[in-house]
Amino acid sequence: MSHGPSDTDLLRAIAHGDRAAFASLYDRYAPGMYGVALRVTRDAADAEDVIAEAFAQAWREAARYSTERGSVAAWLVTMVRSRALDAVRRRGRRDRLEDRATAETAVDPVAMGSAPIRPDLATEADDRARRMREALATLPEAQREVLALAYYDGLSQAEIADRLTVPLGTVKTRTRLALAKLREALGALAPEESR
Amino acid sequence: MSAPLPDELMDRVTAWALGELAPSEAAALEAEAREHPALAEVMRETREALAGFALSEPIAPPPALRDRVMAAIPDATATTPRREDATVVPIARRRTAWLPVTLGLGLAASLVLLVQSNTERAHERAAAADALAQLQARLDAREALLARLTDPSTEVITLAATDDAPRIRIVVDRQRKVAVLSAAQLAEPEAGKTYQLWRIVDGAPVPSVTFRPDAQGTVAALEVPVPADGELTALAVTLEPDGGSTTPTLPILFVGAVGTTR
Repeated sequence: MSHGPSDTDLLRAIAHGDRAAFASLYDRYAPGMYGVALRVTRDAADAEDVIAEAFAQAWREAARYSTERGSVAAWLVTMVRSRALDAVRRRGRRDRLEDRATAETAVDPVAMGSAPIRPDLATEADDRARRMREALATLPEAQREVLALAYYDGLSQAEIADRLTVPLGTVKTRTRLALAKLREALGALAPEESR
Repeated sequence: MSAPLPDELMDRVTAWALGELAPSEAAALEAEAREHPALAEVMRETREALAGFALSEPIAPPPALRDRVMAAIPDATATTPRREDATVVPIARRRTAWLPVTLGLGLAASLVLLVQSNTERAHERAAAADALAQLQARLDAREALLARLTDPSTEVITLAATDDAPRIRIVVDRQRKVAVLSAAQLAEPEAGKTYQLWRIVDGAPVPSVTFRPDAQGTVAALEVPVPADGELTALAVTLEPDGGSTTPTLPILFVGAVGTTR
């Protein structure tokens, strides 16, 4: 299945100032990145700022990207998560985040004024996302929950244990099992698919 | 998928992938990974798995965001001709019309210079923004360090050399379970060796971070985790093989008692 230029090809072109390649990268990853920014910040305006900053950073640093830093997807999503967590800390909403109901870790995008990607508009990045969703669907809810708390809320394992009132060892085990399952799902993707 | 690692190591890999490790801990794990390809592979897989998890629920951003993002990047190539476009070949072929040729070439050269200048300015602006961001990050780090140094809960431990060599200074913040190590004029360890810090906890040495000084013999503000895993009575430094050891190799080069100075 052909999906146009690879992510690394796009970044090479961006490093030479190619705006069209930059637009393609945006179209490919903005929905996934916006999903992360929105889940972390829980604020549409903050999420938009984070996306704008992250893509500006990607433009500036495209020439310095190396595959040793992971896939382009991982590079971008690390950038956006880090900026989103910074935004939450900077604006003092940490306490509000920690007051969230623990059972509800998923964001309701409709309530936040946005909408999930329609399946009929799915792109290659969404194809990969679909494979990961299938793997996630096989995880017990307790494992998904610890991953979400660690990833979107930026909680340490000890903080998660406190939040869920379970032993630290239990949190660690759940996290290990969840990641093992996701790594397995990722391993099933061909190298070209995982880009 | 690569072979599973011991649980304790997997927990460190997970913390690394989530950005939870202190810079020194992350650097130590990355150094280990350079020696152990299997560990490096698991680290790569874990980072990619988390990225896959994060990107698994895309949400359509507002359409106006795309315009905002595109408007924020330099537009040199879109608003002015590319360098190769600026070389107007047809004029150059008109050998008999010297004046238009001269003017045309002059105009082309000006366009080339203009485009070159615009592109260079765009790169300079991007580089300046980058440098500013780096300066800001360094300033933030210094401010955080200063806050630690002046916090009443911190104590300063000076590790005196046992052979009158230079000193190492460590600021321990027990409340935040972190210390900051700095040193000057340290001798460069021989190839394959590294300095290693030891925490003396309940009378026994517990391995901590490894470090090497820069070319000037300086170690600047290295963060060191100080878990509350017992009574910390002293800190010591030895020279160990690259990657560090689990038991100290004598002699002890530097040692300092904890809780006796401030």
